[in-house]
Amino acid sequence: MKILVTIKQVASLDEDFEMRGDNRDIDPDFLVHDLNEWDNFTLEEAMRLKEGPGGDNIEVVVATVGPDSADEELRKCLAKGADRAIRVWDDALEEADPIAVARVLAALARRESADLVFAGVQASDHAFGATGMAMAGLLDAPHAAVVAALEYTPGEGTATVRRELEGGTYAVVKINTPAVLTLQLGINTPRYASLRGIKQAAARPIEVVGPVDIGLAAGDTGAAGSLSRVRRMYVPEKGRAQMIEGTPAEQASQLAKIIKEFRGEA
Amino acid sequence: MRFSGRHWNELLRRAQEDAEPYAAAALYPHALPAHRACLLPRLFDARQDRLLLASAGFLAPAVLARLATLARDDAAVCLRLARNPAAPAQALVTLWRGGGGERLRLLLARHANMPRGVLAQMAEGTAQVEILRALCENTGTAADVLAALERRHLPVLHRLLAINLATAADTLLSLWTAAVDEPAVRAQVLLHPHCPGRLLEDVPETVLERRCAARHPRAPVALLRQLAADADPTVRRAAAAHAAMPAQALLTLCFDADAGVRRAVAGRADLSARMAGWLQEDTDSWVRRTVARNAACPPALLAIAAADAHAEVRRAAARHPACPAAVLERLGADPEDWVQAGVAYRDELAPPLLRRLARSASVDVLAGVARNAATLPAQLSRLAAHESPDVRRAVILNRAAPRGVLLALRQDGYALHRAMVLDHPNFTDADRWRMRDDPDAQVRFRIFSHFARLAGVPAAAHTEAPPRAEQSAPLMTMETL
Repeated sequence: MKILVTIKQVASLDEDFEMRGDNRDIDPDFLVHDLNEWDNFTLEEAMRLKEGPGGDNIEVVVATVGPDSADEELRKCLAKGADRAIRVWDDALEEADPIAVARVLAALARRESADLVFAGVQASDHAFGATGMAMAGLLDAPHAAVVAALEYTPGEGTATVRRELEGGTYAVVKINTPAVLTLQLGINTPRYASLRGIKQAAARPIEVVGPVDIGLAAGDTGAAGSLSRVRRMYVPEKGRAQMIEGTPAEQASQLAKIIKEFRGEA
Repeated sequence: MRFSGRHWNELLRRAQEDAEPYAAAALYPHALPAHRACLLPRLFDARQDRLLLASAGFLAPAVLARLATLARDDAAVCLRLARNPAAPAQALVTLWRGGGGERLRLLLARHANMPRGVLAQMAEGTAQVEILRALCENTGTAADVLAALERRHLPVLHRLLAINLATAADTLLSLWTAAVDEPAVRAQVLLHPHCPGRLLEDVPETVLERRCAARHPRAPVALLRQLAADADPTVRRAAAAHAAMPAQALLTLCFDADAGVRRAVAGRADLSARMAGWLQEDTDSWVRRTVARNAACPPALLAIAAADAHAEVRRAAARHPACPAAVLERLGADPEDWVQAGVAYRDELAPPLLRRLARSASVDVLAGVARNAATLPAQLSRLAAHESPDVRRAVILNRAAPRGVLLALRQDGYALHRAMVLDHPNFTDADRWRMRDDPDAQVRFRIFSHFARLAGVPAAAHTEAPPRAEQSAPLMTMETL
């Protein structure tokens, strides 16, 4: 049995940053990379099944779509016990939107004949929350989003998941497998990799494949396979909010004046 | 382990090849000029690294000062440096000389390490309210500069001036006079350590002012007596905590209708045995808990606290510095793990009780046992392999943990633990040296810093910034810097 865990190298920002020359993204010099927070939980859930009853034959495969730097995040997963790591990349994928990324991951899931596919509910940087479910659509596989608990006995044809809904409610759903699940934060307690695991992972191979290697045509990848395109990224100008300076008495007087102005009394 | 030139050269090579710039930053302040030159490319060649280093608050002043010189044309790096609390005076002066935008000047005016001479020049040369506010908030701004700012008569600055600890008594008096309708300003004046004594003689009008007066360490006894009978409970609460409150007034406050006032009395270091007894029977569990934790509470009363219905009161009794052994024995078998944990942290426990607590399944209790200096090495070895990081961390925090136990934690998966174990007194330099290729940048930074301090050139030889006291010289100008 095989569980495919799809992960993402995400970027975080400091308070000040600059835009790239084309104003369509942040200047990469200002980005600090890390493993997407949700992906710690998805990997842990796969490891929990692998280490639980009947999990001896489970193979956990982590996969990502990203450049060389994403190897660092794959190695973190290998250090925590993943069996294999695959990175899919081609310069054409640079402009890929979540749907184009989902096409790549779906093709990979087909090639790997994964029995379960785990993805995070969303990535902390772009927060589309779309890749996992788009992948399920492309695979035409049963799926459940925002899964907060999973009960599954390896080898069985169904799994029971508890989905997190609005207003603090949950829905318990029985789902056929193979399935695609997007997992929510808090579904488990992610482990830390052992030092030995980290050192061993540094020497383990990462399979790097291009979209063509997994059966994708040029029209399916990158900008060509995307359904959206970022036109402009910007920091909105400050709104009409106005800081009222002065002592409390002055502030109160100024506030009263503004209210009168709005009422047309001033 | 004897640290030699060979070791230093290896660190130098590793720092140059490191994926992160931090190892090089650890060596830089202690390196000879030639070695510093070798480290410069790794530190500052890539803009991404310059940006990272500029906002790193743990770096030595020499690194940040050098960065300020090299990157003064990069506005983003300059802003990060100006916001970095570790940026030394020299770096800040470099940024100031470089001009920069309004935001940079504002950050520099706010920076605590900015030389006082420069802050004075800033104050003289600007009418921008935001910058003046930043100067008033800066703890490094000298008293004469603050006085000059007060003389500008800008009400928006008054409260900030009254808060700044450097503000002199005569300036505070001027603020008091000017702030007739501003209780918030007057309250800060009353709270200020340099508050003129005569302002503390009369009972202020507003609750806020009275509360601040009640908190002032030099508040006269006569004033405190009146404030102890104030109609507002927050004022009485502040008065009840005042060290100079007369015993007679405290007796009344002991039975105050407001539980917060009684809690303040219960926490007093000079609590009498009689009052402790009364408060031990208080209906408010927080009062009882505060008494039980108070070192002034007679140990004889702790038996009552140990039988309290509230677990927090029982735990407070367990944490009392003079809790009798019999009470500890009883609390060690408490049904609440949280109470047992309070017992487990005590160093003077009888070995059988400590062994019994070590059999607990509670992480809180085991963390206490792991932190306990009397826990046997075999027990600590077991706890060092516990699945809970809290328990393993407690072993590292145990100053008596033997080296053999710590060696196991050198392999801990949690990088913070590996960084912490490096500072343990029972860890040897040979042990630290073996960790020099740790995969975590934070751990490597600490190891490299440790050995750089041991073996490198004393940082003082390269310090650029003058001592703080010198910076306060009234004739300090940019030229003298």
